[in-house]
Amino acid sequence: MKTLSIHILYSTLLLLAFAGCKKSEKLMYREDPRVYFSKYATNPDSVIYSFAIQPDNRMSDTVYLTMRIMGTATDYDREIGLAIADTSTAVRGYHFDLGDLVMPANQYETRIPVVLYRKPGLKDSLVTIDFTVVESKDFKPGYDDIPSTIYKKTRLQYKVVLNDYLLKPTRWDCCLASYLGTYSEVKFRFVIQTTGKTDWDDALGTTPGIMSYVSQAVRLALYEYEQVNGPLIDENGEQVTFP
Amino acid sequence: MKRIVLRYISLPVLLIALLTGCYKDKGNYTYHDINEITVILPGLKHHQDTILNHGDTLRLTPEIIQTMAQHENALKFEWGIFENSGANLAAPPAVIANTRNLEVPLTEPNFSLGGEYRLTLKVTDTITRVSAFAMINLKVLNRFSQGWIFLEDLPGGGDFSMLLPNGTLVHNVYSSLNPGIPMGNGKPVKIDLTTFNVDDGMGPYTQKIFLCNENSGVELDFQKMTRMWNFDMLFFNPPATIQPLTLNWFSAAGTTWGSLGVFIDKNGKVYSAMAGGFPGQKKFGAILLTPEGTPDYTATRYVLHARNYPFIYDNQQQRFYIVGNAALTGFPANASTVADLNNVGMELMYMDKANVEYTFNAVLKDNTNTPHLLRLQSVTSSPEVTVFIQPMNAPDIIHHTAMVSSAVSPHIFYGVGNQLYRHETTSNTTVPVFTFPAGEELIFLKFGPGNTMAAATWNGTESKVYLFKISLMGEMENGTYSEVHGGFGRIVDIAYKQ
Repeated sequence: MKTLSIHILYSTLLLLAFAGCKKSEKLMYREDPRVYFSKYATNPDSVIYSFAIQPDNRMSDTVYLTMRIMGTATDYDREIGLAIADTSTAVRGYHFDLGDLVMPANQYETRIPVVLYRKPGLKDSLVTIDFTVVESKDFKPGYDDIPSTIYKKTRLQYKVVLNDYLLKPTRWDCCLASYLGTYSEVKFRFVIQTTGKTDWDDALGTTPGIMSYVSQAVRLALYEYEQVNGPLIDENGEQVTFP
Repeated sequence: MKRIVLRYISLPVLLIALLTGCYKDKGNYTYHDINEITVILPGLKHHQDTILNHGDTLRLTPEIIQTMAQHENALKFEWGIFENSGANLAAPPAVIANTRNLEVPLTEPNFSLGGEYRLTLKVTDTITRVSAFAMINLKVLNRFSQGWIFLEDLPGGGDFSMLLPNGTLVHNVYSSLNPGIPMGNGKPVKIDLTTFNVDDGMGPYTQKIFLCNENSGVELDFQKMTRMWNFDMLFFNPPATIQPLTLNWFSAAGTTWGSLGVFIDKNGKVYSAMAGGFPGQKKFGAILLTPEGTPDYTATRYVLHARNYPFIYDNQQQRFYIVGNAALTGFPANASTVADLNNVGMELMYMDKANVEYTFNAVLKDNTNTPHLLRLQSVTSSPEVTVFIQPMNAPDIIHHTAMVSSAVSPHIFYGVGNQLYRHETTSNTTVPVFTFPAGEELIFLKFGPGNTMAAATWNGTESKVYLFKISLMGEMENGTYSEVHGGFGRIVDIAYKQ
């Protein structure tokens, strides 16, 4: 019995001696992996896509949903959960199709393609696709918004608006009017035909350098048009001019 | 016995081993001095750019200070370089020598023209294995980073010569730096340089140098003077023919960068390009229209820089325009009291900067061929742009073959045939100041640094360049030129690169 006690004592001391040799785990914060819509000036809350500014033979096109993760990347693909809200009026498989909802391995951001189809009904009405981030087996929904009263953006919803008639670009009043003046559909169509530009809601497509060129080009084109046809009159009966 | 070992020896040993972890190290050591090394590259400062000419040999004799001189033979040397331009920082460093002193040619493969490098010297004491370092930044340029440039029309096409600050004249600089690449299509027309950096998103953020030809244009790398691209690249939608008179970048007062490019073509049509720190493309667009919304104008090649805008003169409508990023605009009514800038009614012969900052001399002639001097200003204290207009007492100036306005003294120099005149704008008087040899016609005048005036002549087969030192009072030093150089093709433009 005494020998057994000594053995127990020795074993305990040895265990104590080696306990200090164990490398302790780093104390790290582990959060749930989450995913959200990345929204900045170049990809704001929504995108308005119009086939009207595309050539007549373009029957489909693609816009992208940019999604970022919270947490670290993994070495395997992960599934993203996206729901199409009941408020949507576009029909999947008819107006649009959605690419694979996957965050690729070792990536922090991905662009999910949304293929849009040109349909006859879009000539006189618009449809919307309202995306919402939902929980998947790999991700929980990311954060909801930036807590600012001035610049508040939900990062869990994203809207795509689709039509086939000219719609005033959302950036016209803030950023294009100083170059192009008051909006009219006739003017906008003339600008598109002159420059071939279609990315009017993209800040990088409407930088001061590019808009200076647009302004120069449409002025010259309007001068040449008027030499042949006389004044260009818009749908409101006003003569098209540029500031 | 086994029990004794177990109980009286092993147990205490184990306990002592456990308790040694509690022992506090009191750091009772003995320190020994070692050889400490300091490396100095005499005349060169760490992290300061040293500009060297490509093709030269770099020779460096480092000064090495040791606290223990007996280690001299134990020193090991390693000279290394790596690219330091920011463009290729991932490139591995290269060891270029292991000698005490450096003697290395500044040529490929180690040194490329236009390259920026960090040169390091590592000196290691092989006994102590302690190293000391010295480092300098090098820029390897060619010898054409500064000097007069003479654009020439040669039988084989356009080329230019350079007169370097050390007095060396080098002919055929363009063709030697750009072998097999013609300067352009047609005769050379003009060379445009900026004195400030331009952020046009095309190439590096540096000064710009453009060569205009009759039917093309080319931008050169400012440092290397090698061709970068044709002018087509500088347009969103290039015109069918590129026939430049000038490509001039404007920099507003108080800024050190170009913000608006002004391109004028052979037909006098103006294009502009907006540049700056914003993203996206910054190129020339379409022909600018007049305030009346027409392209009915013929701009001259002169682009002057007021404080906040560039302006030009239209010889068709005989008026001035401010060049904007979207259109040409007229001057407001309160800009002029002595002449209507929007309806001058005269033909412009020449205009450039005058002797007071942001003042300008415009030499015009009316429909009776009477020359007039219109003095303009751009001051913050007044919207008034005009200063005066007066008929000029300047014999034969309407037949001038060359003209230049001094930015130092109140004078305009002009040549008629082989005669050089100096017109004083304040007294409205003109005197002949120099006569070139018979048979030489004065064809170009240009001021450079130190108020040196270059005068180019042409005798039918050769151009010569005369350099005159002009005093602050406008007087020609010793009444004659200080240097003359020959062997040029017909000179069509002169600039000074710095």
